[in-house]
Amino acid sequence: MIMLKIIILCLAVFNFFIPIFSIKETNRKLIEKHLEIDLDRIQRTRKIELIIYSFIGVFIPSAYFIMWTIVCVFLSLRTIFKINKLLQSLKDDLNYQFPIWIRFVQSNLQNNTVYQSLYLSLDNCSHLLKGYVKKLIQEVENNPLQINHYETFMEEFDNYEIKKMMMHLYRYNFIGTSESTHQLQSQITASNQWIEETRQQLFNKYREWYKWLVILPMISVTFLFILLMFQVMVSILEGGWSL
Amino acid sequence: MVISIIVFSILILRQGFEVYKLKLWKKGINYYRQQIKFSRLVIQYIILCVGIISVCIYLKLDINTYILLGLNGMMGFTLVVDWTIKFYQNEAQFNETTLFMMHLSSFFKTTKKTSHALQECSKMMGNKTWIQQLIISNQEGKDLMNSDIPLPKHYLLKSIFTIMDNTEKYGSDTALISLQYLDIDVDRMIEQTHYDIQERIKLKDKLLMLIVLTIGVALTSYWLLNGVVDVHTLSLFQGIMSAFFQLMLFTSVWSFRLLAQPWFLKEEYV
Repeated sequence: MIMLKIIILCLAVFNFFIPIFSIKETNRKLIEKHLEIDLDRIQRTRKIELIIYSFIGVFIPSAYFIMWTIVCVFLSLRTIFKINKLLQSLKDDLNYQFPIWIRFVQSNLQNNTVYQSLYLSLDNCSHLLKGYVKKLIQEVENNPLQINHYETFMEEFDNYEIKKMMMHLYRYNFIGTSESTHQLQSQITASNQWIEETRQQLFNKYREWYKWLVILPMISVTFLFILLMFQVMVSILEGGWSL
Repeated sequence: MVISIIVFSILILRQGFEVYKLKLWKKGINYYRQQIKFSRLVIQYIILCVGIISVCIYLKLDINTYILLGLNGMMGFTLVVDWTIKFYQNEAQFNETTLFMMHLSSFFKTTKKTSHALQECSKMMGNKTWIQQLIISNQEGKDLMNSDIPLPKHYLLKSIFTIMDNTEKYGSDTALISLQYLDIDVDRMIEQTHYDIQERIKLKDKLLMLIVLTIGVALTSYWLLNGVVDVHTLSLFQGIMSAFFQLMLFTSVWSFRLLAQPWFLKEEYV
């Protein structure tokens, strides 16, 4: 057991010099930009925490050492869980906010150019999208024919639907009136479908939370039975069979 | 015992504050009188509460347990009433707003004028105050969504207003098609929301049914064990049973919380 403790302590010290958790570069950008979290600082803090936990572990009695290790692993991983949760909620927010914004752009497109529609939609932008949309407007204003502005729009999120919608928007700029109406319609259908799917997911998510309540009565009655059983057993063993 | 009273009290205070903040009693009572379904939901809860207390009496539990269950049951009753009122208010708001969206869109397609469409809507929906306010705001040239009118800032409503505004200003051949697409959106949203509400009610009913079944299982285990040893003599019996019934009561109250969720998703607001 002492050897095991020493190995764990060595690993904790060694781990100070290597990255503990790797984050995709796109996710790293998202975290630093939208969640305003300094990942390097978190990495450093986690490494120091691990060394402290392992050092304390040396003095923990052997009987409790496994339990202590489990607690330490959980404590060490809690930051990753928290960051992943925040990242997921950011992506979920985007799944609603982007199609809603594109719906406003589409509403404006019926009698405006793409640039004007983007500009008019700025009022209905969420906080998450505002910066990106402002940048896009600026770029389209400077060089309206470049495809790059549309391709790189919100590329950190690596979302296929966003890329598809932005390509639709780009194509809308360069096609004839009759064809552009058709394009717009297909774009509207696609964004509607996206919103519907997200809405359904959200409804399901709300209901899922309440489905956990179902467990409560089942667990409670199981405990009730076990405890009463235990009491009956104790009573029989203490006082004999009293039929 | 103390924990259950604290939990129920916190819930009541939290809910009471919300009721006070939104002045729900002013809006709720009239609706309450009109709704027969409302009493059905509340009766469900009362029957369950009385059932739980009857089982406690049958099991000859301590008098303190009945008092506590009765007290918590009454506190839970206020929560159930409040959540049920909220449910019907949300329903009324949802139905009214979606109906308004559909009327507005269809009247605009024929009249091509926002003011005419609003007036037609007002006639159709019984001269509601907020529609009158919208008409006045439109005459004054204000932004319909950003005025002080108590309308949900839903993206579909905002899209309809945007299309109407653009069409009036610049004219458009594609406005009708865009409004048709929005009509489909509204229809689909209504369909999805009603389906979700049905699912929520089903889930609540299933939870209540499960509580009844759980109490049945608890009674069966009591009969089985009582056949071997007189369980009333066991030291833990009173405590375990009391905690179990408190938990059942809490679960049944909480299942009604499903009804209080808003019908319009906040994520769809702009």
